[in-house]
Amino acid sequence: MDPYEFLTRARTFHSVGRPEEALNEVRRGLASHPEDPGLLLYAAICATDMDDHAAALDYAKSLVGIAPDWSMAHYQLAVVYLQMKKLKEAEESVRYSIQLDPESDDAWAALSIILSRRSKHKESLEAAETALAIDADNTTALNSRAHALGMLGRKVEAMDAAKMAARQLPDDTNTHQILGWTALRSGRVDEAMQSFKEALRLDPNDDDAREGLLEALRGRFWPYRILLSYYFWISRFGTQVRWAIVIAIMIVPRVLRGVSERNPALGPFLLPIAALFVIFIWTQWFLAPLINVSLLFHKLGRYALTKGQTANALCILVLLAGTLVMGAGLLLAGKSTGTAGLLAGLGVLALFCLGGLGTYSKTEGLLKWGSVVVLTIFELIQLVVFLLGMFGTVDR
Amino acid sequence: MSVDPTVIAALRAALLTDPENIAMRLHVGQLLLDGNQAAEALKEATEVLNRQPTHGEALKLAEQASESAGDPIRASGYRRLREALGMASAQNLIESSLGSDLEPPYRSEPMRMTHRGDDAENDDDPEEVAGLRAVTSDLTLAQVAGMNDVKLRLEMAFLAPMRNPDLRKLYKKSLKGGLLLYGPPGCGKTFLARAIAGELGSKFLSIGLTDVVDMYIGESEKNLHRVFELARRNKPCVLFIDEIDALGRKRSLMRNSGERNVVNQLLSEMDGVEADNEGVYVLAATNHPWDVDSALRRPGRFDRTVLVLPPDALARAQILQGAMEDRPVNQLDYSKLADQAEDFSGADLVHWAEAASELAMADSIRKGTVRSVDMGDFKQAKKDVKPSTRPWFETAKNFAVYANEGGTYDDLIAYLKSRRWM
Repeated sequence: MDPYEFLTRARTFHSVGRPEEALNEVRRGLASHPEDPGLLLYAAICATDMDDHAAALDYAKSLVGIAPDWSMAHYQLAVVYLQMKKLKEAEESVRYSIQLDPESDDAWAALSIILSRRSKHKESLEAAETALAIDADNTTALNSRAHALGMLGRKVEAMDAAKMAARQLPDDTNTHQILGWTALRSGRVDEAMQSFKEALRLDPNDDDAREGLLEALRGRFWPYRILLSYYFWISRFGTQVRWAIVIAIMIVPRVLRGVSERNPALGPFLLPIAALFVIFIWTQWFLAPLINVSLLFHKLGRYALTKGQTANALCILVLLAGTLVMGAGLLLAGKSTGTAGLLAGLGVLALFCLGGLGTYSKTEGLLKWGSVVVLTIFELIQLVVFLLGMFGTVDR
Repeated sequence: MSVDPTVIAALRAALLTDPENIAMRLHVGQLLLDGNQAAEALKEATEVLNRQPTHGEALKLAEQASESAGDPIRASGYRRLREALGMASAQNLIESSLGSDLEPPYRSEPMRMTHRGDDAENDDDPEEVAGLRAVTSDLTLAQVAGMNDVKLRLEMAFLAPMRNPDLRKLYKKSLKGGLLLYGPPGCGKTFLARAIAGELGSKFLSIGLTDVVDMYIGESEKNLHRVFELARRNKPCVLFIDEIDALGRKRSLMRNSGERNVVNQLLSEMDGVEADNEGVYVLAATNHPWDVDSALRRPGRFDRTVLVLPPDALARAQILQGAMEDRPVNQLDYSKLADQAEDFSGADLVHWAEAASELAMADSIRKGTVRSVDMGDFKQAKKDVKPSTRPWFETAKNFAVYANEGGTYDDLIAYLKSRRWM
């Protein structure tokens, strides 16, 4: 058989959603034609689709070695790097591919995605527009353009672009997901929710859309919407600037307090602002995990939470209920309010820990088991305090 | 090649009631030609050409028949006509099915199940077209372990009306239709399909993934049409399409229009636009029901969907027992083993049994004496065998939550809730 026949069969397997079989077919072809660029390219594509990064990289690299002047080879290598989140290498490869063939809309679209991941949204927008100038229907570029506009804060244009993309690509999960995020950025929570639901209907395993749905559900509470606008605003900057902003916000209340101590006359103006900053910082700390508790009772929210988030929310729920029941018990039994206060204080401390876990833990395992451990420790302490308060001699 | 004259007679009788069935007429013509009745074959070919003057396969048959009948001038006339129409070089399916040496464009999947019972029925040689055979299945639903809910639903929706023609007539229940089996891999969807065919006493025709791929590469729509024609000729016949998410893939997932055409063709074949599907039941199975084009779920096509779940404890015990049949065993408590194997698919169970047997064999080789497979082997083998169905349910859950339009996944939701996975 000549390579073309293997390739045809592989393509067919691939197009009916069987990348494993497609790769087998390509491998069979490569056994007799080990240096066929078409087969190598397809091998890299299939391995990429199977998330087999190591194999994909192998194939793509040998392809570049065999056909160094073929723009597709460099493009595919860039796609593999992009999937491996090696953004610098990806950008290098895709730029080389564009040098070889400046008319490839796919390469420009890939460049747009890579730049967006590197938080270079202005350049990303330009690359997307170049791709669209070559082919106005390029799916990736349409999506990436809408995304870039949103990230640049050009809300109206972003919304137009995202809606246009959704009309053009009604079956594309990504498009609906981007429309969702764009709507969320403009504060249109209901529209965002609809778009995320549509994205999830098309691909229920799309994690970005699930996260978007979660944010939209939380965004139904206005304090969280303020937090969201802050998150969106800060996400426009590069990592270093982001850190600088976060640290600045932490420092501002202290500076304000220091200034007002030295100039007591300014106190009445500066201290409320400092208080607002402090509230804002604490809100960031546990608002999302607290809202997650209410999502436990929401039809879709329940499923939008990850397992770790669900565990965390359940722990917070148990903590709140436990604190409330024990505190109420003490008060109703006419015991000292001091013990009830101690219980409440312990509850707030536990909430602080659980909230921190819920907001900042990076892994599901830490979130789940960390929450369980924190809850157990605090509930035990609370129980001891409660029992001592009820039956012990600590009553004064 | 000798041809059974009774087959030809039967087909001709069928043609009297269905004179417009071109595929059947061409088939008769070919059989006549093979049976050295060239003049008769030519008659059938011209009959077709009277209806469709540019029919390539008919022209080819007419050419061959004229040649055999000793009329080369007429033969060259047909050939020129064919060349003028650009068909002479077309490597069409008929050609390969007419005994050419070329590789058939699609093959039947190798039979996965052995036939039980006597071979008496195999004497009546089933028809074969292009390597695809309609075979009878001796398997019955009773031989399928477990799946009682599924069997009950099948019985009510499908089997009972088919066994009782009077009732069927009374309630005007049609004898065509489709059933889509879905569920985690390795849980016996294919096995169940064969059992249904056996239960109905009908012929069984199966197309798998490789056939589908070959179909896409060849003249796809025509090939698919031929498969359905074969099923119609063999009625009552169960046409089983394994991995229907490949052949009936969501058109929105397909990039090129040629591939989408195959789905369109499948839709029109299932509707029986050109030919009557009475007596053809299309069964399909998939692990990815969410990738199946939703148009295939409309009434008249796969209007019934059945979830095939992993075997329950009783079925697991039966499957294990079946797998250990003819192997030396020592005090195996199958129900105890079955209890330890929750969420195992049928394939996982068989794998487990094999792994345990392997351990006993390795031990026997080491010690130089034959030792039977015991509970200890199973215990040890279990370390390497993990239930393969959980990841499927994880994915399926998301579809049930977000994409349950029209209650497609109600069965699945009920199961997930009963397992507290949702």
